[in-house]
Order: sequence, then structure tokens, then C-alpha cells
Amino acid sequence: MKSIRQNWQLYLLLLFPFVYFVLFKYIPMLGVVVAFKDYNIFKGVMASPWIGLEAFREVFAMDGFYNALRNTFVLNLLDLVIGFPIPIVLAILLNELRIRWFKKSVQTILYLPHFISWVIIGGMAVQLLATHSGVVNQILTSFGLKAIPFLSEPIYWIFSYLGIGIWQSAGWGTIIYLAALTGINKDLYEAAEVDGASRLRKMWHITLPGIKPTIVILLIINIGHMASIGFDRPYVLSNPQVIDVSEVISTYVYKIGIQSARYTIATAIGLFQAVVGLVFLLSAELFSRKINDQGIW
Amino acid sequence: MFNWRKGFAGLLAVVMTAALLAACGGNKGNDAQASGSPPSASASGPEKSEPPKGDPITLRIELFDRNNTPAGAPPITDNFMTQYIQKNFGDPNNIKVEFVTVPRSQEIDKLNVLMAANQAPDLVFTYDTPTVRKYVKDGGLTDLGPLLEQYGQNLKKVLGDEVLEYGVFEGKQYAIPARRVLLPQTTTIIRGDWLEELGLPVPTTTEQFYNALKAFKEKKPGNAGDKIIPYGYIDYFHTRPLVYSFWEWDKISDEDLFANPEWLMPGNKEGFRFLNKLYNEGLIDPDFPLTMNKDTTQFQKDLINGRIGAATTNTNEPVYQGYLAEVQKANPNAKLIPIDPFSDSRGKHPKPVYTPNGIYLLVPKASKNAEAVIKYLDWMALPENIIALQNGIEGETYEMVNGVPQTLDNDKAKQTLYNYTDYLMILNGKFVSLTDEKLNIAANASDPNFKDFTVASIEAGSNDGVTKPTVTAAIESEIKYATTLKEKDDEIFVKVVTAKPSDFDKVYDKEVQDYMKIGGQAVMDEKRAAYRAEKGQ
Repeated sequence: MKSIRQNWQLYLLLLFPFVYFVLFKYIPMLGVVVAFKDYNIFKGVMASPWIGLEAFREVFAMDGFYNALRNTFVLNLLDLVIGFPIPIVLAILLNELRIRWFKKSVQTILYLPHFISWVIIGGMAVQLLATHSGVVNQILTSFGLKAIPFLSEPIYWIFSYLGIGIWQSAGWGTIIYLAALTGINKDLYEAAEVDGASRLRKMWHITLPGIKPTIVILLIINIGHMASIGFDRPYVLSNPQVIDVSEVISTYVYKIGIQSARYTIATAIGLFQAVVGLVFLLSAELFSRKINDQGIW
Repeated sequence: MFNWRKGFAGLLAVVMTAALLAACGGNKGNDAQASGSPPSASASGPEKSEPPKGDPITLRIELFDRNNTPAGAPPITDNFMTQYIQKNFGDPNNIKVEFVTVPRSQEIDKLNVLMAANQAPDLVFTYDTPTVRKYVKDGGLTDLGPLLEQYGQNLKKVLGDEVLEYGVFEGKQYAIPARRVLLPQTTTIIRGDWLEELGLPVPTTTEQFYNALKAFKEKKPGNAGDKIIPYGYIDYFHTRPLVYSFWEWDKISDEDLFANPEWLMPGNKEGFRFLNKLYNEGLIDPDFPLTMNKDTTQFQKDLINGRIGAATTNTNEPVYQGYLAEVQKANPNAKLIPIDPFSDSRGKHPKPVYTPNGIYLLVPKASKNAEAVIKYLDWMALPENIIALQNGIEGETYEMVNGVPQTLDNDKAKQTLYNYTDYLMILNGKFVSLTDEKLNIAANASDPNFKDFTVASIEAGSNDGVTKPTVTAAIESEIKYATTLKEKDDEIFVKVVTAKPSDFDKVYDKEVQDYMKIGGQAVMDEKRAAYRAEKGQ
């Protein structure tokens, strides 16, 4: 009690995030009851009749749902395998740079795309990568090479999706690792230098172990997000030609649930997604504890 | 790094919050103000009734935000239109008219959320029939029949019984449909100067049209060289006239026309085979799937730069979106002419045209101002108000020529009139006469520079027009699947048109089978049953 009175400013500051989480994260959770009701927007949640698991039954009977689920996993897995290590590599490389202004400007250029809205990136992608009118392909064809259907053929589309995603967010992710890198004790590097360790050895034996906790935590969080996927990136990059690989859960929910005003279905899928996410998160945590003796908690 | 944005989570959160608010509102009845709704609906008077007239009613009206306000124009909630409405309708009736903006592109999503949260304006609207049917089914709308009888005589006169009939659901006037003045949907245009250059006739059959495209591709008229796109503006909706011309109309009964998905119509496949041929011969824009239904600015740019040979656009779109003027400015010799090229085996030019009803005007059940809404719409139906809200100020933005308002070519007119339909909601298209159709067509040719183009466009777009039959019963499965099936239409369209010619049949059959499976069959069966129940065998 006394400590509260003494540090009331700190508690007051804490109050805002607390209220935020209660208001925007916990209270909306009550809305999951919609998944078990035949929700009529005019009657409201409480007065709508219960339907039990009917909505889930309908969702699991939809072909499109499994397709969207598969695509979500595939795109997320590729993102994880290819996209996850890149910020780590970038951070270590940046860390090795000696010229301050060069390091700073590279860092800024790398994370700038993070601030561009996906809608604009989507427009840029079409302008640059369209098979016939895109700038990249016009350059290719002017050298007598064949145009590459970056956005119009499923396999190429997946790579464009990954590449654009990495371009957009890798620089931003680097910042977290750079922050972790500053926490490494400088003495260790000096000691290693005295022992005659090469640059690569120092990276391997000092830098990487130094940021390992950060890597593990981010990895676990990312695995927890395996079943969920951002809406804007697949939505703006997708087009009907590649819909078989680009339809993911978030866009599917938007189509089936929100656009058709079938909130019950949308909520049921959302709940399912959350449960799958939780299972992934817990197993990653458990796994990491076993192997590494390190986890989030 | 992963994409940390949680677009979906956010979306869901919004919906959930809305749902919760709805729950609160529903339970606590009139405490709605506590849940954040502006003090409009419930502040309708009795609280402070000392002044003789009482506090004004606030009438809240939905307004599309199309994000197209020209530079220098005032905001859409405070401009000539809103001021005119307030001064001539609001003030005399002691009503404060308030416009609630809704982004045009998310109109339905947003409306659903507003409805669920009990915060919908007193007057809302949508073009989407399944949404209206859903609201009717869920009991969310006010029956406007008695009020229309009492306060809406002028309105009834302008709309007419045929149009009003489209707003009757389950035997009640739950919606007031706007009247569509002009019925054509699309008109095909072609570069007349290119035809002349190559010595080709103006196409009147599908075959001549194909030959013209082929010649554009091979002989490269104009100066775009290899960049020529012989036929542009490719999407499901705008290729209807082409596809309709392949249908075997003598095999299609009224019931088929009503109940069949278009993919199953006899001849539909051949129409798509033709489109597939155009694609594989490089006669349509090869990148069309990337911008289809999203954005027509690339098309407009290509047209202005003399790369497009022909296109099927919304009727008169080149005039009302202003790009015809740009084409002429970029190349004074360019000549775009409206044509009607797609002919069927009977020699006719069938194409879908709109039914005479436009947007549905609705009053949510929660609204306490239904009477004021009808009075408002009735006021709007008076001829002087129609003229003012469609044409602005006489002498400043328009002048009368032979009984037809002619828009003046100045900045003031451009800044005042660009979104007039969003205020004058009871009519879709300019309107001057209840009796003389020619006057109405002339009124819609409001840009004097392109009067002939407009008139020819309307004629070509109306020729042999087809409207599908309707039934009054609600088709449950259609409410459920309509959006999904519409998305599927686009998907099949792209896949079939871009298929390799050798795979065409395989892709078409597989996709259509898929379409039937995800709801197409259910909708067709229910529609057939409903049709037979209503019209007899």
C-alpha cells in the first residue's frame, strides 16, 4: 500500500495500458458467444437464439475454409523459415559496421518501408511487377528475356508475397535485435580479442548467444501466430488469378463473414483460429523449455 | 520478421465491440446515449418544450463519401446541397438535418455495423438486395407504407407504382427504391478514327468487332505501336453484352433466365471461349486480373494515351467521369464512337439493362423519425427541389435551354455537382419530366460538348435490353451465398479467360462444378421452386 502511495505516478502510467487491454482485448472476448448464437443484429447478442455448435459444423463443411487454412499455414511457415532469420543477419551485419553515419543511414533506409501502408505497397507491386505493363518486366523484355509472371502465377506469387513482406518488415525487425545487441557486455569482445578470436568466431561465440533469449522469444511468439495472418498484406497483393494460393483465413473471413454479414460464421472461425494459435504457442513454449531451458515465462 | 499487423484481429474487435454495444443498447433501451450515440434519435422534443416550436428534431441521413471531392470544393457535409436542404426543408419544419458519412467502398460492411450498434442514421440506403432482404427477415426495418400514403403523395408521383413495387417485401413497403431514369448499363465505344484509317466498317456484329480488334493489333493505327490494347475494361460485368450475344436465347425460358446461374446458360461457355481466344491472341489487356474491379485509372490513362482501341464502359461513363474530354485534349483527332456490336444468332443485340429501381432507401426500426424521413423525401420530389439539387444555382452552375437544365462549363459547377446523386437520392440520373422521356435523355446529356455522344450511348446501351424476371419471395440461400458466389464469378472469369486454349474446357467445367457446389446449386433449386410457386408451371 505504502509503495503505491509513494510511486503513484508509475501506477498511473501503468493504468493506461491496463485499461487499453481490458477495454480492447478482454471485453471484446465476451463477443465469442456470437459463435454459438444465430446472431440477429437487430435483436442483439443476448436475445439471439442459441445454436450450439451449428456454426462450427458449417465452417468445417466448407471447402474454401480448408483451402484458406492450408494457405495460411504455408505462407506463415515460409515466412518463418525464410523471413525470420533475415533481421537477425541484418542486425549482426549492421553491428559490425564501424562508420557510424553509414550504419545509421543503412538502418534508416532498411526500416523505412515499414511505414508505408500496404495499400500503397499493393499499388507499387502492380506498377512494378505486372507481367506485361510492370516496369521490371519491361526492362527484362527489353533485354530479350522472358517476362516473369510475378503476380499472376501461383508459385511466383508466393515468392513475390514473401519478398515484399521481407522488404517491408525486415528492417523494422532488425531494430529489436540491435537493441538486444547493445546489451552485450563489451568486456567479452575485448577478452576474445586478447585470445586472438577472429571476427566470425566472435559473432558465433559472443554475439549470437548474447541475443539468443530475444531470438527464442520472438520465435515462440511467431509460432503462436501460425494460424493467424495479417489481413492487408494478402488482401492487397492477391488477385483472382492466384486466389487458390492467396486466399487465407483473414481474407476468407472477410468475404464469408463480414461482407455477407454472417458474423456468427466469422466469429466461429476467429475462435477456431485463436485455439489453434494457443496450441502452437504452448507447444513451442514447451519444446523450447525442454531443449533450451528457456521460454517466455 | 513477421508481419505483426493484426488486421484481422482489429476487424474482429470492431465487430465484437459493435455487437456488444448492440447488446447494451438492446437491453437498456433508451439509455442508448450512454453507449456513445449522438443525442439525436431520443432528443426529439419533449424534454424542453418551453419554446413554442420546441427543440428541433435532428434528422440523420446517410451520405456516401466517395473520396472524390475536387480541389477547392467545400466538404460534403457542408456545401451548397446541405445548405439548400437545411434552408428549404430543415428550417421551415424545425428539423436539423445532419449527414452521416459512410465510405462508398465499404458501404455494406459499415451499414451492418451501424445497424448492429443501433447507431444507424434515420435514413440509410444500399443497392444490395440481399442485404435489404436480410434486414427485413431480421425485423430491422420500419414499414413505410402508411407513412408514404399520408405524407408522400409527391414522392409517389415521381417514383411511380412500378418502381415502388420493388420496395415491397413480405407484403410491406419496407423500402423505397429510387427511380432509375436511364436503364442502360454499359455501352461499347471504339476509336472511329482508327476504323477510318484502316478502312474498316463500324462493327455491328460480333465478327466485325473481332476483325476490328485483330486489325488494331496487327496494323497498329495511331502511334502507340506495340502498346496497343485492342479491347480494354475487362471484367465480369462489362463483358455481359459480349457473352449474352453467345447465349442460345431460343433455348432459354423465363424460368431459366431467372433461376439459372449465368454459367449454366446455353451458349455461355462459347462466349467465354471467345473471350479466351481474345486473351490468347493478345487482343485484351494481358494484365487485366491485377486491376480488375479495383481501379479503372490505368484504363483511363491508356485510353487517353491512345492505346485502347475499344472498350465496354458504363453507359456515358467517358462523359460523366470526364475522361472523354481528356482523350480529345490529348489528341484532337481521336474520335470515340458508341457502338452496339455484339449480335446473337437471331441478329439481335441482347444485353442486360437495369430494372427501373435504383438504390433502396430504408428507415431502421430503431429510428423515431420515420415520419420526418418521408416528409423529407416528399419535399425532395417537388420539381423545383429536384432541379436545384441536380443542377445547382441557375445562372451560376446551369442555365435553362428549351426546358432542359444545361450545366455550365465552369469550376463552380464542377465543385457543386460532382456528387449530386448522393443528396438527391430518390432519383438515379437527371430528371426533368414525368411524361417526356426525350427531355430526360437530353437532361442527362448535360455536357453540351458531348451531347451527341451521350444520346448515342444511351440508345446503343438500351437496344434489345434484357431484364431478368423477379419474384417477391425471399430466396434464403441467395441471402446466404450471394457475396460468396459473386466473388466466385470473378474468380472463374479470370481463370477461364486466361486458361490455355487446350485447357479451356477442363477449367471451365471444373470451376462451374465448384461454383455449383459452394452454393450455386442451392440457390438455383430454391429459385426454381420459388418461381414455379409464384408464376405457376
